[in-house]
Amino acid sequence: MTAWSAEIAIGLPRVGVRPKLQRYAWVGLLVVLALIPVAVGFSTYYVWLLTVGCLFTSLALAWTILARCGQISLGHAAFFGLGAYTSAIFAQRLGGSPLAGMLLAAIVAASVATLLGAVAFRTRGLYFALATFAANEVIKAVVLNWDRVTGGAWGMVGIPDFPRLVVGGLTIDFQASRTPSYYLVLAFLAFSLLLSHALLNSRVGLAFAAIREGEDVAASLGVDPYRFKLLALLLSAALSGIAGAIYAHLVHFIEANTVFNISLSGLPLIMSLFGGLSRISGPAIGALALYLTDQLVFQPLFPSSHQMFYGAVLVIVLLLMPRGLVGWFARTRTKRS
Amino acid sequence: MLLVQSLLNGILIGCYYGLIAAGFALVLGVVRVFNLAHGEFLVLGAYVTYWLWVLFRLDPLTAMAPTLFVLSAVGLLTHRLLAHIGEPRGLNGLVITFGLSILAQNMLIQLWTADYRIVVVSYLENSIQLGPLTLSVGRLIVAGMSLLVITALQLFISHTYAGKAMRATAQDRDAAALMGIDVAQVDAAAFTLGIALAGIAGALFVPMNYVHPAAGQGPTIIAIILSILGGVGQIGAVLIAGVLLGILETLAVVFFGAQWREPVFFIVLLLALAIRPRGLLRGLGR
Repeated sequence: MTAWSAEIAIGLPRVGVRPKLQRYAWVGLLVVLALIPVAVGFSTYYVWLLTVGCLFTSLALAWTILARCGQISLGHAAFFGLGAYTSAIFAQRLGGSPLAGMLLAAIVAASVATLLGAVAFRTRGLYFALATFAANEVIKAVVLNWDRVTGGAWGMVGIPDFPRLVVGGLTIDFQASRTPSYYLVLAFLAFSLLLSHALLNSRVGLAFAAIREGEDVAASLGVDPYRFKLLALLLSAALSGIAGAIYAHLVHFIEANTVFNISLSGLPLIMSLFGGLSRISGPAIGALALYLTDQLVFQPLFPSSHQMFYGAVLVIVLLLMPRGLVGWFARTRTKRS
Repeated sequence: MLLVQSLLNGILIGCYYGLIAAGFALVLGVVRVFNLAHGEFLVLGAYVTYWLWVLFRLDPLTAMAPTLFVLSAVGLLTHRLLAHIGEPRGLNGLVITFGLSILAQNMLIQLWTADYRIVVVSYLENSIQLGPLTLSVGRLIVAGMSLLVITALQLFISHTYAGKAMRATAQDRDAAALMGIDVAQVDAAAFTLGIALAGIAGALFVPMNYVHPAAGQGPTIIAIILSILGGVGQIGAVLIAGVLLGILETLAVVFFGAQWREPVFFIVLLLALAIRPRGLLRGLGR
């Protein structure tokens, strides 16, 4: 009855069917992204900028999967960081392939998510958010103190690159230029978008929506909230883990205070809320718009404190546009017609 | 003897933790905003005290008064902002203050760099020898001041009209409004008071700890833990929870090392959430 029992998250849409064209807007976005390197003449700077941007976009999509069940996570850096460390340790200390490392990262992140879910899903609403916030800090502390494996506060340096791939007669060398990395990240982004689309337009998506609208009602209709929330958390964590693994192999250097940072937990949340959660293209467009604005405008102006941009965006979004940018556009358009 | 010494230190630290949580619990209980930026307000108070000391050589204990004033103004302004958030207020409040905390941390970096700063006052550095036990004067004064402020707050809440209005609003908003209480005004007053209390905690923070833009995260977590364990509306219980946490922290540092100080907080928070999945409902229900 009071705000305490409310579990419906900010700006989440009611269940409903959208026109087909709108549902596939993300495909158009992918095509544009695939063509951009050609448009900027494969400029190393812009390609790299977009690479990281698309990686964070995937993270935002991963966060949104969980949000679609009405669960707001304030600790997604935990899964990103776990993935980064898993793959880095696997590749550097055990000599494994980074590609297998990505898979392992997904498994480790999903396993930890299962453990976290067992505790955190005892709580609801804002207490769930708090539990995720605390879990990230506990995992960070373990990584910081487990020096022998993780390198402690010094982090890990010289994480191997992705291996050279030969597909048909074509050799893909990740060291020679930034472009192959970009298309690798884009492929992962395409996978994330496809998964999000499949989830949203399936019975699972409907179950997520039902839980979001009211957990007790959903349970009374035969939808087991725990099972579906756990599924969402698992998928979300696995995707975030893979994003972390890719990050580690692209940047070659990770430290606990960066990959488990509170602003990294904030990033996907802010990007998704800014873009609006009502459709798949929302978080994607929000993420790219914010990341590019941050990097092109605020990073040069405030090199050490540009993250304040994201904080300000979050505050403004919650005050002015509770449904996010895409929801906002959609609403103004329906009004006009 | 090491055990007794750690217990004693834990109790002294715990009183201060009670003060950190007092403002947070007040805001949570009355305004129903889970203020994740509570620690950042504390850090701002610490910076105000620090600059008063650097620029005017003002003693941190004297600086509590101007710090209180500055933070009250900041609290009032912030409340004007938060008054506009929509339903569900619990979750929206949590997320918006999460944004505020990222914003505040980076603004502090921009203003005063990420350097670690501390106020060194000679009389706070002394210690008293009690047989085999050593008591730090600084910690004693901080704990004493904390108890003083908490007692004053308790008296204010139980004996004045404004305090009673706050309690009534915390117990049942609608009923309070029907009784002729202006709940919007009570909200503003409680939020401002809560932030002012964070400011006082900040003034007491900087002579004992290094302050830096990210220093607020620990205090925020402490405030959350104590409010969940102690429940809002019962300042005594919050204080007891503070002492328990202080003892636990001191023991963890003694047995496992200083790097486990903060992780202990988060593990306790996770356990607290597992034990009390519904959080503060118990404390609010009455």
